Amino acid sequence: MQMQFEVQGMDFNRAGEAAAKIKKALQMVGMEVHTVRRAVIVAYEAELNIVIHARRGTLTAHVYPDRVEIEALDEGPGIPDITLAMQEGYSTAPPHIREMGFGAGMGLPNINRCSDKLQIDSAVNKGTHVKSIIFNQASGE
Amino acid sequence: MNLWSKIIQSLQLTLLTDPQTLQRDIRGAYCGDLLSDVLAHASPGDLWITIHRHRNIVAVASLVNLSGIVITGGRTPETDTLETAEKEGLALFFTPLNNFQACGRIYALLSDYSIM
Ligand SMILES: Nc1ncnc2c1ncn2[C@@H]1O[C@H](COP(=O)(O)OP(=O)(O)O)[C@@H](O)[C@H]1O
Ligand SMILES: [Mg+2]
Repeated sequence: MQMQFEVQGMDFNRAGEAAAKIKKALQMVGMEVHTVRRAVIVAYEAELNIVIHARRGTLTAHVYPDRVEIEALDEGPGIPDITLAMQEGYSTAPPHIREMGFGAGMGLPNINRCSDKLQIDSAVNKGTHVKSIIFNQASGE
Repeated sequence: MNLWSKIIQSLQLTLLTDPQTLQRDIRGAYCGDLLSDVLAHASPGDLWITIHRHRNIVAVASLVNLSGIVITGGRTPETDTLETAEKEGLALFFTPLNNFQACGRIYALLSDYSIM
């Protein structure tokens, strides 16, 4: 099964809708609770990174019996230094976004922690491609 | 009195959503104003204590199956926050207490119930 959702930059009214739909689908097909939780965290953080940092993008979920793959592809400023961006607490989010409780610099670390495999490719002034694989398993980190 | 009504009394909560939203069980509580922190560290069934009042808190709470949200400091939710909470069947409250006071009271209550 595959699902794809359009995500608009700065659209905080719809932020999280794609992640919610992915969650529902994963529950419908009977993925493990632990898998759903991790996939939902990855999907939400990736979706919000498009909303906060990019112009527009798509969030795609590929669902297989043994794994979920979450892919976020966007057009935007890109990430100049991915190693730096992966550090907890690093954020370029502006003050008005931080006031909403976003921009804590925990999104990419959350994605990393919840992924079994993670690939991030980015080109400055073009966009970013995040691909996360989450194996379907009952529990355990 | 069940746990919900004890919490409502002790934390001076005003329920803003349909009473049907109290059907979820409270399994604990979590306090935080960073959405990524709550997403990563709150447990299913937790009651979330926060200063935020915008609709994105409902999205986060629903994604990780929290039992409800308490908005502190006498702040009330934005209109679309309340609408979204009703749609998601998520209990939404406000309290005049601040984060610290609300946490202290719920910590004591949940300890009595041996939940904490
Ligand atoms: N899709 C993206 N496009 C451009 N920059 C991004 C994107 N995702 C993350 N970043 C950059 O990486 C930083 C860290 O991301 P993250 O850990 O999610 O924290 P936050 O989103 O809270 O800033 C961001 O502040 C931003 O500079
Ligand atoms: Mg982020």
